[in-house]
Amino acid sequence: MWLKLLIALVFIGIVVSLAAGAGFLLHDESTSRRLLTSLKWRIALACVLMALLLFGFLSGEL
Amino acid sequence: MSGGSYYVPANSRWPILGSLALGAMMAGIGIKLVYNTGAPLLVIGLLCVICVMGFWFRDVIHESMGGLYDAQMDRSFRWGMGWFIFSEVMFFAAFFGALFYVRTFTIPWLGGEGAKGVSALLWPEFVPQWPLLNPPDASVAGPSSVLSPWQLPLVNTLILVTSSITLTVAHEALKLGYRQTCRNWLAGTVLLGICFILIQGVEYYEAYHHYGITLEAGIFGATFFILTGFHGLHVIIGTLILASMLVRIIKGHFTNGHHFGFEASCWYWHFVDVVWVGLFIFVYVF
Repeated sequence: MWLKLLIALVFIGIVVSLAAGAGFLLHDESTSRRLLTSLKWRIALACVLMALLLFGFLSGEL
Repeated sequence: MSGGSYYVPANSRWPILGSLALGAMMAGIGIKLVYNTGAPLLVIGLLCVICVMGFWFRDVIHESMGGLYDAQMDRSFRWGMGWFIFSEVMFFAAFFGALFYVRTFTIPWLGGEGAKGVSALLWPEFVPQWPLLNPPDASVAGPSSVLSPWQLPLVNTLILVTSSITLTVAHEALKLGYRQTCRNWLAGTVLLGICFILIQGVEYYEAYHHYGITLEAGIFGATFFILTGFHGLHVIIGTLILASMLVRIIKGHFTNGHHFGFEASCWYWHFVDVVWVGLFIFVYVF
């Protein structure tokens, strides 16, 4: 159960960072680095999510 | 030059030609659905739409590279991208919403649970479950089994997440002015996108021929193909967009501080990746 909750939280974090990126894309100048930073957070969280999913598969919890 | 006022382009043939192409495509679809013919018109219309888009985008790129655009035009592009993002989010929200509704409400109701559990009277023998291998109506054959998420779907997920990493490296490289690095990592991203599409094709073949998962296999088949199919279409579009960006990078377009088209493409690819991660979780794993 805790694993599913963790997966849900990380997925929400991914969506939030992507949405923040959309905001920076639409409002900032191209010289701004905020979009790139938010997308880096997005991909880092996606890597964490993949690790959690693989852990769930290998441990038999998923 | 715009001189600070809003840039108004010269008369263009693309709006009317695009409308005619869309009309031909729509007529082709209508004739196909009603009379089961008209496929050539549909194909011609689709090809014309693609051609018009290509030529129209080419003109926009030429205008941008010619220095015709100003800050007001830049804001217009950002607003356009904003509405595009909104439409895409609503598009996938509808399909994810359909899956959620079916799994959370409809199937339990048909099993006799919840506020509309009385609908269980329709098919008393129905056993609620997901994935729905045995649809309530015997005239609808469900899938014989479902795909394991830990085989091809997992491989495709890893490919798409990796493609987002390579794209982020390319994005960083462009910001720092390392154009060769940007080109190489962007090329890798395009290749990973192509790999994803090919593997998705293999998965569809497996689904149709070995698992009985078809568009006619009840609500499971319908939601599976609507969600993964439209996502696959978006990956194809995203790969074409990134390939266009690659050509533009090779041609010397974009600078460290002026690359909205590239950044919008990057965000779009990340969006497609996030949708797939959601699909992997809600369609394949849970």
